[in-house]
Amino acid sequence: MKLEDQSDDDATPEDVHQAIETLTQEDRYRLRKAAVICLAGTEYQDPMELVHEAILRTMNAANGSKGRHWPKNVPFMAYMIQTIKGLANDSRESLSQKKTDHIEVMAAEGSTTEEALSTVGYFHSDVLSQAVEWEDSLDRRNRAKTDAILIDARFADDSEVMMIIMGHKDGLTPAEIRELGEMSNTQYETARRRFRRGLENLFPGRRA
Amino acid sequence: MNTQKTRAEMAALYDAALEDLMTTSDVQLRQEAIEDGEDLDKVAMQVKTTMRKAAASANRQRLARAKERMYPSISAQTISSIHLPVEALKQIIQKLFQTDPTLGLAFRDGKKQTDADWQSLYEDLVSIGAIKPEDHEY
Repeated sequence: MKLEDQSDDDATPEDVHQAIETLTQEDRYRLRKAAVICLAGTEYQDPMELVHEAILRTMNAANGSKGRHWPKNVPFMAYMIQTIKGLANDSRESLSQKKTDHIEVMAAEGSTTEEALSTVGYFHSDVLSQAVEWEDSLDRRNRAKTDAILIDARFADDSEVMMIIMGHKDGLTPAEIRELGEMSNTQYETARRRFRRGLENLFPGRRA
Repeated sequence: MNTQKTRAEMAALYDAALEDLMTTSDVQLRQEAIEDGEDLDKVAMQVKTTMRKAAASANRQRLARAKERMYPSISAQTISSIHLPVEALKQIIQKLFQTDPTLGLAFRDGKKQTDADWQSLYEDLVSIGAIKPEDHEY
């Protein structure tokens, strides 16, 4: 897509530059925290990489290339948080990840890993790279489970936070969680803050 | 536990944390930075620098793409000049020098030019956009 093909609602490179320059210090700090929260289980090694990638893709789209479009009617901060979240999700749900997940299921149903790999046309002649890929997949799978266990253990003594964790895991809305946990709005928000702060300290910008 | 289910649950938890982050006031955020022993302004400047670098990187990529598009086009134009008769090149160039004498100053005035000189000059003038080959059909 060329610049002239872009919608009037899409940001131009100048819009992006201006947004970068006019963000408040608190919002910049907030963006880094958002990247810290989203980092776990992704291929990114540092929260700043996620911030960098989000801007790079936004600028690419603004320049008329493939990337992520910032619709100007969406506040820049909200857009950036969504973009960082999207990039992290994309990383976790990468194609190879999906393929290997599928293979894991197939392998679990009685066939060997090699048979499963071969069935989906994913068998490499390079045995080493195949093994590394497979281990990486297992590593990621285990990491997601380990993260879940770590979170549960971290908040085991905080019944309100545990209610929030279980509620969100079950897909409940905040109102439903409050009702179920007999929490006031303030209690819910305070507990959710404890959860967010605990999460940040549990995974402080670590290597995913 | 199913891997996809675990990931979906974790995603829901990250969403809840992000929601909280967005509703946290600036004052509270500064307080958190102090509690964590972080210099908010220093971290904020690092984020700004990272964002500026990313934007600059995107612009460099854009320029590189534009350069890639431009050079083949110029090459094609200069190659086409080889097929023009030298007398035709001379006429085009002399006409250009009459309309823009400053361009002629760059050429060795008063000396006899070889055909290669004329061809080379023509190509230079095409590359700087002074001559548009499509305007001269021979």
